[in-house]
Formats: sequence, structure tokens, C-alpha cells
Amino acid sequence: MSTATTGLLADPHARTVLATTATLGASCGLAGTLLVLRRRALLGDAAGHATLPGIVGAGALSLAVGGSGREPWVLVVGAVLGAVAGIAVVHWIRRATRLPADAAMAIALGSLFGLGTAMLSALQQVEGGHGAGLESLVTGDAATLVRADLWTTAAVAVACIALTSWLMDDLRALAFDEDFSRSVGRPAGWLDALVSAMAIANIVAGMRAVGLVLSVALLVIPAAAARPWCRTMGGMMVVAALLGAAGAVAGTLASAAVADAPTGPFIVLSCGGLLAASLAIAPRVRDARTGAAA
Amino acid sequence: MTDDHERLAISIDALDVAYGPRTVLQGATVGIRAGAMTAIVGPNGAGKSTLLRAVMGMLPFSGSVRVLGGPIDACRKRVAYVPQRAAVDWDFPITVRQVAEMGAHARLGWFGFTGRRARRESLEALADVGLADLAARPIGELSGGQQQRAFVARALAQRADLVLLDEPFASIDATTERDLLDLLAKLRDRGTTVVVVHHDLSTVRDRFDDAVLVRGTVIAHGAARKVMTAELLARTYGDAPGHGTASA
Repeated sequence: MSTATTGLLADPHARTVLATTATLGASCGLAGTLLVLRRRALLGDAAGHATLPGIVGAGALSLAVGGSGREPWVLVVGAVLGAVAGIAVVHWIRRATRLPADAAMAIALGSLFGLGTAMLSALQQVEGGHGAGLESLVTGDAATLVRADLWTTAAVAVACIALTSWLMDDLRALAFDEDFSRSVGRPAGWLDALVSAMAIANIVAGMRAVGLVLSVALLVIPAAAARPWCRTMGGMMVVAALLGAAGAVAGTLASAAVADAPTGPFIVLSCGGLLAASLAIAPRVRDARTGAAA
Repeated sequence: MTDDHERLAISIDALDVAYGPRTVLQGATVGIRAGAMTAIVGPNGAGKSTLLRAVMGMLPFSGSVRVLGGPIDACRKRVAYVPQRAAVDWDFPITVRQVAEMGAHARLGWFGFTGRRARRESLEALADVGLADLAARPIGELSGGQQQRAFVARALAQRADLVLLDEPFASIDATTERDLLDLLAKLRDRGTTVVVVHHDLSTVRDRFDDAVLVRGTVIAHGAARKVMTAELLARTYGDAPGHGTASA
């Protein structure tokens, strides 16, 4: 362990930062498994990018009424509204046109993120360049995390664990065989809304740590890395949560070693490394098992 | 006909279904007997699966569809639906036991309070279809025939009075098809109504009680031996693709 890392662990603020990103990684791994198995990963990406205009709009509104433009609750409300609007836009494009789902999501993702970026530039002009400090939310800056972020992230994680444990059988049935699930009268629309809500909660909880552009990667990559090792959805959630936490901690430490580095890209790269390792090792382990069995 | 109504598991009257501008079924009228094993037969694109999906209330239609004596929403838990193979993600991380448990949950509830009972009943259902040894295996590791058996086990665990299967024999071999037909006949003998969208005309006459011939509407329905005549099959298949299989 380098001296920089040892020093980091001795510092209470650094411990808060690490605990927050680890919790976030675990929570994203769990919620991301649902998103991947329900084939909604791109919808999560669209929701993540759509938070930007929501955040900038909320920040601007706060400044207009004499606030600081960066009150956490204001930004959270803006982010949630943005994400929900993003998903609504996807559904609207699908209804209004005959475009396939992926095209609708790509359109919503690009245009809403473009809108957010333009709004951020405008805000920076008006505010003499500091843009209310919202830029760090795009790629994440874990150094800005405080105790309250840890509690928020933990609350999101606990809610996700509770909801998925309670509704596991229902969510599994829907993701595996939607026709059957509907045929016995299960509320597919509500269950899908819940999957989206969990993704949005994690994206918003993680915007300060990983940033909203890369948040979907932390949802999807641990789930993808867990898939080859798991026979059940519950098992996949646990493994994805562990991999997400490991990737988040490794990425946070790595970004701390580089001065002024954003945290999000390092966390996503660490998770990507875990995914590459998982995909490289899994077939060999499987071959070895089949070889032993034969 | 009115006297027979209690004896009908499904009664469909003047059913019209359209996908956008394309009419798939028009004026389809048919009664499916309770406790019988019925094959729904017709060329590709004739509307067989659409008929099944309309019965399940899974698409908009006009006309009247009554299932087990009432609207489908009043009896969903008593109806087991097995979708086409292509509609299911076979790589999904789910074990054979968990597939069967879906049936038990449909009847007992979804919120984990019924876990032990659902588990026991699904294992019994798997034993019934000869899959007890494979209960812990992921569904994707099973053969096509075994996968269909797992779905029949799901219907058993649901204790359904009516089982609808959409092309369960697609891409499985003749021996497996025979075994599955035996299994469905066993289900019928216990009093369950079995409805199968079916492709293989050669088995309809011998293995099914009734047949419904479909091509854009119901061409004919009744006892399989009476309906599967050269003349009616010619009317159903005509010059449609799949005519070659009508030689039976």
C-alpha cells in the first residue's frame, strides 16, 4: 500500500469518501442487475444524462430566488425531475413515432444532455464563470463528498435491498417471462417503474461521486461482470454488489493518487478491469469444471 | 349452444383483431370444451397465436371472449399460459425450480410469505414431469424438450384449470414431442383443459380430442377426427405456405 493510500485511510474525511463510494458501488451493482436482466440499460443511460438539465434548471432557479444554486436538496429534486422527464421523453418519442426503442433512447439521451450542457454554459456566463460549481457533477468529484452523502447513499442502498428482497419473485418472473407475468395479472408497468426508480435513485445518489455521465456504467458493468458466475438472479445481485463495491473503492483510491483527477472515470475504469478479468477467467473455469466432470 | 355454455372453457364470439391496418382475425367464433385437449391448427400467419393472446387479454380486440365462464381478468390465476419459445430469454439466470415456483407464486402470492409452500409444491410438480433431478440446474442448460417440461411443471404448480401453450413443439424432435403429448394427455385426464397451438398435423387426429382450424377466422371446429378432413384442411391451408404438411 502506498503512503498516499495509507495517509488517505488515516483521514476521517477520506474514510467517509471511501465508505460512500463503496456503498454506492454495492447499491448500483444490485439495482444494475435488475436493469440489465430487464434489458433497460440504455434507458438508465438516458435517465442519467437527462438529470443534467434538471440539475442546472434547479440550480438556476435557486440562484434566481437568492439561494446559493447548489443546495443539495434542490439539486436532488432537479436531478430526479430531469431523469423522470428523460424517461417520459423516451416513451413519448416511441408513441409519437415508429422508431425502435434504442433510437428513441439515443435521441432523448443526446438532446437532453445537449440541453443541459447549453444551460450550464449559459449559467456560467450569467454567474461570472463559476456555474454554481455544477460542473463537478458531470464527471464526479469524490473529494466533495460529506457525511450526509454517506447517509443518503446508505438509505438508497437499504431501500433497494428491502424492495428487491420483498419483490424478488415478482421481478424475476417479469424479467424472465414477461408474457407469463402479465398473463397471471402481475402489474408489469408498476414493476418496471420500480426498476427505473431504483436506477434513478442510484444515479442521483452517485452524481457527486461518479458523475451523472458515467453513472450508468457503475450500474451496468458490475452486473455484466457477475453474470458468468451466477445461476440465479439473487446470486447475481450479491456478486454484482461486491464487484461494484470493490471497483468503486479501487477507483476512488486510484483517483486520489492523481492530483485533481475526477473520480467517476477511475471508478468506471476499475469496474471495467474487473469485467475484463471476469470475462477472461470465466470460460477457463467453466472448461476446467466440465473437464473435471467428464 | 346455450346449454353447453357451462361445459365450455373458452367461448369466443365474433372476435376481430387487427395489428394497425392489418386485420389478423375477423369474425372468429368458437367454443372450446372444458376438460378436452384441443389443437389450434392453421398456416403461418393465420392468427393462431393471436387467438391465444386475445383469450389472455394481451392485445386489444373487439367481440366477446369468455374464459371459464367469465372475463379473463376474473380467472387469471386459474389459467396457465406458456408463450412461444422465442418470447423467453433462455440465458436468464434462473433455476428449473424457480421456473416451476412462478406457477405456485401465481396462485399463492408473490411476496415471499409463501416461500416454503411454493418451494414444496414446485418440487412436486417437477417430480410429476420427471425433472426432479434437474431442479437446481439453470434453465438454459436443459434441452428444448426439458425446458417445455419445466413450463408444464409451472402450469401444474399453478393448479391451473386451463393451460394454453403456444407452439410448444417448435424445434424439438419427434420423440420429445411424443413424451410431451403424453404429459399433456395426463394433464387432461386429471380434468384440466389443454389448448395447444400446433404445427404437426400428423398428430392432431390421434392425440387431440378437438381441433380448431384457423385462417384469418375460424374455418371449422369440433372433434379432431371430424374436422381434420382433406376438404377442410384444403380450405384452411389452400395455397398458403405450409400446405405440404397438410398431407396427413
